[in-house]
Amino acid sequence: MARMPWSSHAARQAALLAVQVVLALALGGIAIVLSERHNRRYDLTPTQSFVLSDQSLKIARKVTERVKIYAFCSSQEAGQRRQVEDLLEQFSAASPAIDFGLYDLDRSPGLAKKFTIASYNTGVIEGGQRVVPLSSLDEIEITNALLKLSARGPRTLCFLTGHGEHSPSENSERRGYSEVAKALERENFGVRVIERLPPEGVPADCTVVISAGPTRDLFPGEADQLEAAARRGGRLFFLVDPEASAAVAALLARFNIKLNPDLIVDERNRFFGADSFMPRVPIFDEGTFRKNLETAAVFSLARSLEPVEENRAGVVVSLLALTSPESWARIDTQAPPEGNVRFRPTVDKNGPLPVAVMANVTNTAESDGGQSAAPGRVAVFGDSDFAGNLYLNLMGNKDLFMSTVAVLAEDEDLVAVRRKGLQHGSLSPISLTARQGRMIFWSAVVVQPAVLLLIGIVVTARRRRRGGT
Amino acid sequence: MKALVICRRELRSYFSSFIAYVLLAVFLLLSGYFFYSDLIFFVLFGGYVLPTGLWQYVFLDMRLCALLVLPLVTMRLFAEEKKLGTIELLWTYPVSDAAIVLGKFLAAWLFFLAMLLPTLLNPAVFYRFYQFDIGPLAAAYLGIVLLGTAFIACGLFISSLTENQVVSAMVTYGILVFFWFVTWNEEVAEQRIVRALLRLSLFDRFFNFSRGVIDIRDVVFFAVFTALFLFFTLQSLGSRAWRGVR
Repeated sequence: MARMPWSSHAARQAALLAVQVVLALALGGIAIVLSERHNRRYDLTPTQSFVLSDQSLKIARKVTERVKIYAFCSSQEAGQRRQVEDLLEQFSAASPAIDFGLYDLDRSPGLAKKFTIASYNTGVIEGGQRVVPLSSLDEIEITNALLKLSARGPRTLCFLTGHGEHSPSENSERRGYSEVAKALERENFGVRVIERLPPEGVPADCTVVISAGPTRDLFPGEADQLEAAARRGGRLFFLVDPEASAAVAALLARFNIKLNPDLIVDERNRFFGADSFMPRVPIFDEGTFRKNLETAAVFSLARSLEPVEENRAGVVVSLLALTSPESWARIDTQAPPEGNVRFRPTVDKNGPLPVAVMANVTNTAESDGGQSAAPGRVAVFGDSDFAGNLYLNLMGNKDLFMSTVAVLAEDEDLVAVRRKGLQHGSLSPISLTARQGRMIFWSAVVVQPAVLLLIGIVVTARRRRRGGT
Repeated sequence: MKALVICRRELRSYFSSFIAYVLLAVFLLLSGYFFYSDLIFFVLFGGYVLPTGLWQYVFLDMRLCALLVLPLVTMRLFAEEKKLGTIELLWTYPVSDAAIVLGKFLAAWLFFLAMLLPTLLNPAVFYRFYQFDIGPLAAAYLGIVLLGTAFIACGLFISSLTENQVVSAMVTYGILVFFWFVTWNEEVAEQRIVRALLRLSLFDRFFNFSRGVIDIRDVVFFAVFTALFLFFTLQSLGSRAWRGVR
């Protein structure tokens, strides 16, 4: 019989050690699993770029039926792949029904063919019998795809165009609203153009009727049709410039909203590089938009609006957006004045001035089961240019427009929690002068290591002088 | 308190050695070079945000500097004392094994912080020319400290197993590189396995910190990794009596 190399005491100690190690590993494993299940994440970037927005989280949490995100990333681009994985992990953590997989286009050709994927950084979301393509692997694209997969009905925005309004099918820089149309379609709204309302009134499939910058009178009967729609819980969105027709003003007066005959001037808060008729609009109603819109919007040749004493019952008007306290309104201005304008204390009006209001209209239609039906809503803005192709992407314009549409369409998930833009301190390009570059080079590459080496030499020399080794 | 005595003794030993200054200088030279070259690349090619365009690359490079240098810092902690025989003297002191482990770990950790501290000058000089947000940088520094702490704990354990410093350094490199490469099999393993491996990778755990995100899962992982290796070191010392080794 072979002799045991260790004494029984040593064997016992070794066994005890093994048990302790296993226990320690198990405890460590439990701590890691617990942290995975109850995670917290703190994004210290100023733009909160690496955590899902509240909007995306809400939508992801609503996913209850199993969906799988197939993301196609190149295995050669580890950084990009890791970022996509991190994003998908966050979606997956928000709802256990969301699963994901990362695939290489070249190594999983069968899967790529099945989903007709031809390029990297694209993918699909599969849920039930439906497959929604992802043209990119970013948060908004994935969130929208999840929305498409959900059972939400179609939401159509009907743009009236027969009264000189901006058209979503027009691409021109100044008059076009095609950028708005693209943005709406990205958020799963259908966009439809209606020249004039049909005799039976607002079509049933119009979630919101938008009239962006009417310059001509409404057709006979249209004002009544629009009011009736709002009284039945419909949603209207008017963007009215100073040159809007009297008929439009009369219609809005039915909703207790007065269009002031003025032009807003803001010398101190004007958009950089523009004149004082391009005021920045920095104040938004947090109650309506749920979260404060982060960036001021920029209007161009805007008029102010005013809630008036209730002349129609069942209508409550609230303010949505205000210009800065330094702004003022030049009264009785039909055409924009040229050159500098001065505030006339006895005539003009001091800011802050409402440039966006919303009327909530009590629903007079029959309600189901005794419950009060959803109110009608009429949003009115004192400018239509801010959402045109030229200005839509300025500052917070798109956010303001899209958030208003979301409020009107009652798509609360999409209200004002869009990804924030890049902020100061984060944006490239950075320009360094040659001198600054040299200073960084000398400090980082030469001086620091040299000083340390010098200290080492001095310390060693002193030790040697003292007879140390 | 006795751990602090051990720590002071170790620190004195570090800072009286010329090699330590060479290590510090090499670390600063490499991290300074990476900072400068990444910054120039960022300025020239731009179009990114700082957390993903500059800090991420600077700190992903800096983790390599830590990988290169820290096993050389920890290799001597026990191995040198065993080789010189001074460990026998240490055992005779009225200090517990835990105090010894803690003291040596603390000393190596403070040496690492002394290494990192001057690198703060690089962003500080850059800040003079471009006022950036401090948050992402703070997260990245927290990440590199946690990563370095884990490296030190691993190196300390390996040093406690051998009396050969070269073996100690090489085995530490081996283990740390394993925890780096563990995810490099992505395309041959199943998705679930790859995801599990990703959760084991020290370097993937560092990724979030490098772009300004503090994820509690990553903090816990580094803490557990460090605690486990300190525990293993303690067990390694405790086993010397019944194994009949010093």
